[in-house]
Amino acid sequence: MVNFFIKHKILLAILVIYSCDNSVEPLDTDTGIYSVYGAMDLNKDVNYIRIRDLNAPFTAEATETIDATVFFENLETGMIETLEGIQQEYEGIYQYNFVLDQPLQPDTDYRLVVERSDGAAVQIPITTPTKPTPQVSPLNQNCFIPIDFELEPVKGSTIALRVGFPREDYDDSVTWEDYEWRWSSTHVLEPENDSSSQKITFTFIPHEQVNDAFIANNPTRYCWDYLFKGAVYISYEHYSPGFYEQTLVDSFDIFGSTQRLGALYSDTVAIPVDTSEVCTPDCF
Amino acid sequence: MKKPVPVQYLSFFIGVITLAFGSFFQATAQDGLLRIVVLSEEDGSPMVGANVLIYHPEDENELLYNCVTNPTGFCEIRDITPNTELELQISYVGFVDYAEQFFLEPNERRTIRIELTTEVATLKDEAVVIGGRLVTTGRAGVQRVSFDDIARIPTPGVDGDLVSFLQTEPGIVTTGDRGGDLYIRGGTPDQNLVLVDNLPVVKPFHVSNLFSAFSEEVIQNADVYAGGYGAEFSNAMSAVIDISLRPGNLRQYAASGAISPYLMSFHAEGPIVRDRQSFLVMGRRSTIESVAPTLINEEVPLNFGDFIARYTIQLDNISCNVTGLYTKDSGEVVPTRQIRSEWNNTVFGARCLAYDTGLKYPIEIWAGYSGYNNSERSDIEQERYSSLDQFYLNVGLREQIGDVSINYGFGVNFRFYDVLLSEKFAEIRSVNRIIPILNLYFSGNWEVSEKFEVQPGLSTQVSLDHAGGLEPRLRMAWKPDGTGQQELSIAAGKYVQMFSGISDQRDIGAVFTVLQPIKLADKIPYSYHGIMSYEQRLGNSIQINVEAYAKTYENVPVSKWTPEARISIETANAKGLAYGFDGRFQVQRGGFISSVGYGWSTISYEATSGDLGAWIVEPVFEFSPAHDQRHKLNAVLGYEFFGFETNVRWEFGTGKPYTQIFGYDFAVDVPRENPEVDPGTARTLYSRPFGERLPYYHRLDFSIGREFMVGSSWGLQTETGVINTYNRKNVYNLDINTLQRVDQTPLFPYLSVKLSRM
Repeated sequence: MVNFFIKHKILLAILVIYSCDNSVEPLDTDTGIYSVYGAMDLNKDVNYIRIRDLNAPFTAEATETIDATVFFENLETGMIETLEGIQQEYEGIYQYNFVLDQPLQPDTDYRLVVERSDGAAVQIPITTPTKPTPQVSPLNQNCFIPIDFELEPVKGSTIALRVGFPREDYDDSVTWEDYEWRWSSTHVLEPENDSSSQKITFTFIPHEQVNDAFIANNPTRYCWDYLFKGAVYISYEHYSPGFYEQTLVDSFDIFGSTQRLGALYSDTVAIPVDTSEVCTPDCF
Repeated sequence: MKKPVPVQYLSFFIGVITLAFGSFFQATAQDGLLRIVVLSEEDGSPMVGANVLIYHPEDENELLYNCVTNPTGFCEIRDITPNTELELQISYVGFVDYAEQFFLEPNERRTIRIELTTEVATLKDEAVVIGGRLVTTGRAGVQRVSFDDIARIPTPGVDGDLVSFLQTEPGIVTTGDRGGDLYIRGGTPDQNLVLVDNLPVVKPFHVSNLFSAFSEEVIQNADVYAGGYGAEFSNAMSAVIDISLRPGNLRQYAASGAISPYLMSFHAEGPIVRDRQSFLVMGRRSTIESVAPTLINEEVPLNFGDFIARYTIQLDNISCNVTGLYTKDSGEVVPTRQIRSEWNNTVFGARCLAYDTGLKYPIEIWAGYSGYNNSERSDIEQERYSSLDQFYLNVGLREQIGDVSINYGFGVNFRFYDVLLSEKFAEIRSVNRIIPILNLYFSGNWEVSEKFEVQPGLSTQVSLDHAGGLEPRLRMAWKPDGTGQQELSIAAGKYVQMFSGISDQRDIGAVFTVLQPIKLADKIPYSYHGIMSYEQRLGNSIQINVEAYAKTYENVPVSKWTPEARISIETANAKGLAYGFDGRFQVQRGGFISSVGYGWSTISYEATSGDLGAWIVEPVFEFSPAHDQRHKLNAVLGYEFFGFETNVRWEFGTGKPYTQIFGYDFAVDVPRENPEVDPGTARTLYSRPFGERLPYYHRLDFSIGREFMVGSSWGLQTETGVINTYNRKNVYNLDINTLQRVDQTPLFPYLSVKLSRM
């Protein structure tokens, strides 16, 4: 009988203690740690990586500081750099960009580590893309002749490219960045077979790309009406392996959509085209 | 692509109705017919649930005929042997039994009006009228609520309120003390059908869960069908709350005014033509928003009000009620969010029962309009809006085939849906449709023996988009000893719902619901119910009831699990399973009454993970929604002494599931956006659905009151009490933007007074 009471007193005590626990843990602190956003450009000497503490609500108090130490490690040389954060204020909330002030090497393995003071960390490996060499053939043909545009080596990662045409009032004094262009839709070229694939080939007919770029296509006008500089331009971006695919992840994928970090290399190539009027393929 | 309902199906449906209605007026030769209207001698109002019994005059144990009065105080007994002296007895709880001897001529049809006088109450058989039959309260899934039950629950007003009582019932769950949503045995609020004198009201529960549009002052009774309801109810998957309002006093004028920290109210009633026509009006308006900062040093941004008007006419062969109801609610359910939720109901309709002796059977007709809209808006813009307007006409009829009486009816319901979801950074989405629905039902009552009774039923409904198919229903009751002391009953059936309600289920503070018709390509939601109940009465003072139930929910539309905190009208189909058991114990002796209820329940949904969205990697994802409360214990004690009435209520419930926040993010769309200059898009991300449970909930409410006479015709009713007496910090919700915890009502003392002219 005494045992019964002792046993039940213990149960009662457990019940009381348990039922008095009135706390609520609103944040999933185990899985939600940091979000990381950055597209590091191989052409730039300084790149910025946005890092946010996912556990900090949208208030000034919660974002006044960030509990994060950020390391950037070159896995091939073993060199580790601690990145400094820059605080920015946006609508009363503070955001943090960490600065990588070293040029990235192509085709190199890096790792970003973001560490919380309690040891919880996020690690993101990055392999920078190559700087592929473009090969074009044939050159100076008319608008209806297919052109092969090759990039090599690409080491299995994706290239996104567009074919562009400068406006009619093209002015040599205007820089590439400022200039207004007409662009075709983006062509995403994924390496064939496997990641060891070295070469990507894009075959196109200039006339078709003109039609794509100029939506209000006028059937009485042909590509030579638009190619004022006697060339078509291909702007391409070569992404880190998997980085382009990451940019397509929808918001349903929380990990994928909150950790979007990679590198890219971009360039633009001018391809001379013979703009003299010729008989169209259907004129016979 | 699914095709709309074929014309042949509609033709068949209308043909059946025409045939049934046509045969209704064919008078046939029959034995005697007695129609009885039972009224209260005090105010001339009809008495629902009175037992009408006809005995052999020389043997009181030989019950020959019986019926139970419906909400208009009416019932009928047919095929009475003519030219025989019989004894008519009428009994009702709290009233003096009535008895008289009578006999009928061959083929005579007679209507009589009986008035019962009041006596001191005892705990007798309470009755629920289902299809015109007497059913004790222990019947499977059914709970009759009287205004006495309502008055026993402490509320911060002089009058009790239906919704406060309902929350004491095991199996009925709310998300807290605000929001106005009731979850009944696993069903969601949109799966409940609330009827006020047969007029549907979408959400008559106020933003403060302490109050609804139905105070003790206006309620005659309410029948709560937690499942297994008969064929006369359709288009609701989970539960029915069938409320009867009382008519205005047919003999004298009365009025009252009351004030408390929570609300103020007035009511007036009286005869327009004595014993024939009366009116009743009642209005209430909340005061808590302005009083709370002073009284409890806390903002309570809740505002609500309601107005009920009723006109009753009782003639010798027809009884009609015209009812109007308006409710308005507005409030910040989670104050820190600064999002105001609003809803209102506008209901207007009439219900008539004709029992002219020229009619073969009585006929009941009800028609009207019910409008509902709800919205959520911030200070900047209206973000979400959904409304449902209904026009309806229904007819209820009756036939007798041998020993089986058959209630049947049909109706048409035009439903107008209007939805507008205007979200930041998202396109405007809308629904705007008119859906007519035809319904038809048959419900039989067969008393196989004194101990065994069967109520089979069949219901069907059809809209332009969908045919609901047949919905069989069955209720059975067995009284082992042939008395009302013990009863074993079961109820089962299929229940189809031709519309759906979508709310942001991840967020326990979300009260906004999108009401929309089932799309042509989608499957209709339906549910199977199975309930088994046992009731034991010990003498006149103790009543024990246990029930076990299971409900399945098929094709339930649930909002997709977009990880971001916003509502989406995109839905995925889930199926659910709810099961559990309830136990109730009630004892009443002298001025003491106590009831204890315990409920264990579980509800889970499962859906194909690809349909649901975020976080879910399993092929089929199973989750327990926010209303899955496993244990609920409730105790009510009442005691009357020296003219005082004191009531205590204690409630305990285990924590309900909630969804944690995965994180607060500013998404930068790299490489299109540049972290150096672009701030990104703010988004609050939910973690895995319903991964955690809230802490336990418990609360003690207390009240004591007394009525004083002021002169010969005025009464002053006073009540003081405390809600949440020991100031338990029960969590209601979390503000997902600031992580601030929002607790339910803290210790809330009140003093209420009500001045009445009688």
